[in-house]
Amino acid sequence: MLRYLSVRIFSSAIVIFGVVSIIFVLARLVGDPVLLMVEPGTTQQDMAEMRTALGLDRPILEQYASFVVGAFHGDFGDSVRQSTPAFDLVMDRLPATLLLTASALGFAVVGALILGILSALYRGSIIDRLANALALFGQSIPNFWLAMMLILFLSSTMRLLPSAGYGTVQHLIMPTLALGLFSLARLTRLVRSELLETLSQDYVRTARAKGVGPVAIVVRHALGNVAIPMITLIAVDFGALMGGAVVTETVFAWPGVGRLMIQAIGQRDFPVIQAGAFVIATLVVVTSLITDLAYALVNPKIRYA
Amino acid sequence: MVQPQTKVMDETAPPQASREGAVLEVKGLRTVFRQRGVDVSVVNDVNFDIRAGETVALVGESGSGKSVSALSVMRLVPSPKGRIAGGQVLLDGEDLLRLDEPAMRGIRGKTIGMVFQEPMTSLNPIHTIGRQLGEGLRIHLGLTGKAARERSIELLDSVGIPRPAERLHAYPHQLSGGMCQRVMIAIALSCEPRILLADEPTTALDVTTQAQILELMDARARALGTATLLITHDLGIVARYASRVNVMYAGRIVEQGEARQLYDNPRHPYTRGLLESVPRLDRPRRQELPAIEGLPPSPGSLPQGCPFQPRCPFRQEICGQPQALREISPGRRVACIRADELSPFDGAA
Repeated sequence: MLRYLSVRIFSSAIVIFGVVSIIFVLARLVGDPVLLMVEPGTTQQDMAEMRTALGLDRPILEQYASFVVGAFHGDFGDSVRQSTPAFDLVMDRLPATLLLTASALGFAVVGALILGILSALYRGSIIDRLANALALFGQSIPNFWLAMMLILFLSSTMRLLPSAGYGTVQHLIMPTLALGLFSLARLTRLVRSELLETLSQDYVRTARAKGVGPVAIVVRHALGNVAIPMITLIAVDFGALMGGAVVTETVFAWPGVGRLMIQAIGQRDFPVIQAGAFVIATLVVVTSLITDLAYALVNPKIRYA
Repeated sequence: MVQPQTKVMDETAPPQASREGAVLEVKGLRTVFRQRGVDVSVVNDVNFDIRAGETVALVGESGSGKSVSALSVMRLVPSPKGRIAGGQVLLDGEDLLRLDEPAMRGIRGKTIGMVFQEPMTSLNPIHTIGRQLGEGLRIHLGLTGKAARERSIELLDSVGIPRPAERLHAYPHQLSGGMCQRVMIAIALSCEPRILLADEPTTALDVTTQAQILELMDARARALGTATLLITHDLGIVARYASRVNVMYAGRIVEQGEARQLYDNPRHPYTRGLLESVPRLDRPRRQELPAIEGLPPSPGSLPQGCPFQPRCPFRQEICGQPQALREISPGRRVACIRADELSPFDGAA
């Protein structure tokens, strides 16, 4: 177990390092931040001084080396725009993003279990067809469009929910729907098909032959087996949710890491982009590690030696 | 070898039913499966009975409707494709087909236990043996916690599983096929049922394990006074364990009777063909094993009249008419119009 963990942690570190390195290069392709910071009419001389102050005049490999050294110490440099450490800016926004993704994931998992179980048990019924339509719908519409339609319908027309902002449960509802629907749709289809598959297994017949009732058949005998593929998909979806959060946060003016990243890219604020990418990559990698460990809990055939 | 640790029925006073009355009586059972929008009879007008404590065999090829007959008794025919379309399943005179689902659940696992063909896939991979064994005890006997644990250990011990207390924590994949089937037998017999349905219990096992499992099942069923329906395609094991035999072909029973009589003097050409194709030690070694020509018909397209007719060496024009199971001597029934004309059989296994 310890050996497995150390190998996994080591390889996770390599993945994070790779992601951050790519981001380092990509960020520099968007252009010169100084051009966006100066008033019209600033002299070349002044701009050169600003570049020197930000360290942008040094060769790119040198910049990269000092970035890597700094990152190892948890120092991603100061934001180009606000003279606070970039890492602190990201961490300030992290709770909002975690709240949104957790809420979306919770919505997706709970919704998918309810819809998936119902449509598997009542296959071919109206519930099954509705769930199927919802699954197709949820997987095909882009989340930014859904977000705007929700705002149009629930905020502008019905005036039920605030269209943007952060702080109350009402603020959370629409971003959760917009972000979670895709995962909900995918998971619903998975739960339905896996449950149908599981319910036709020999061991379910054995359970029924023991006199086990229909609820216990699903809950105790089938769902545990459905959980195994479900965990895999949830882990994959978590990465997608993080990506989706960038768009959703922007549409709903949600003060999370995603929106911060969009702003930072717009301002060519390299340290903030790098710190944000590092935090998101770390979250995704840690989630996948936790997932692999969770397998061992759900599936007795897996034991990490 | 196996110590009956559980409460054994008083052997000096066998239960009332054993005199002549049947514990289980299947009458006119018809089970259909929906195929391309049409109901196809997989089990057709099947009649058989089991008396208390006896072992009755249901013999036939794959697809002859043996397993579906047993699942019909349990009312576990896979729905919505399959359903029981008619007949009666009388347990001590009460028709199980008329019970509501909760009442039927009270019968499953308690009054009727069942063992399946594939022990490795018949146990839930994510639950321990102890949990799967304890489930029936909790549902039907209300045993939980320590009592359930102790009873489970007793049960595992009774089916010859070494170190039963440790095995309670094992998962199915940690046991061999034979061990899994022992666990299945322990589960099926955990509530001391009156009837055990054993659906090809040894087909998936090694030859060496097969005999052990059958001996074990027989010994346990005897100890508990449980009647057994042994479903198999292996006539060799029928002779050893069953007192009466039902031969099934294409969803119908074509011959039934006492095992000894049926073996010595099969009256249906199909039974005869089956017996002739059992390898025997007293035949010349190089002689080719006789086989029944052709293939069994698919349930959707049965031939006119006798379903065995296209493969039958004794076929005549009259065989194109429906053949009913008729009694030719007490307890002996056969569904062949030419049963009396068949030449004497030259002995069987």
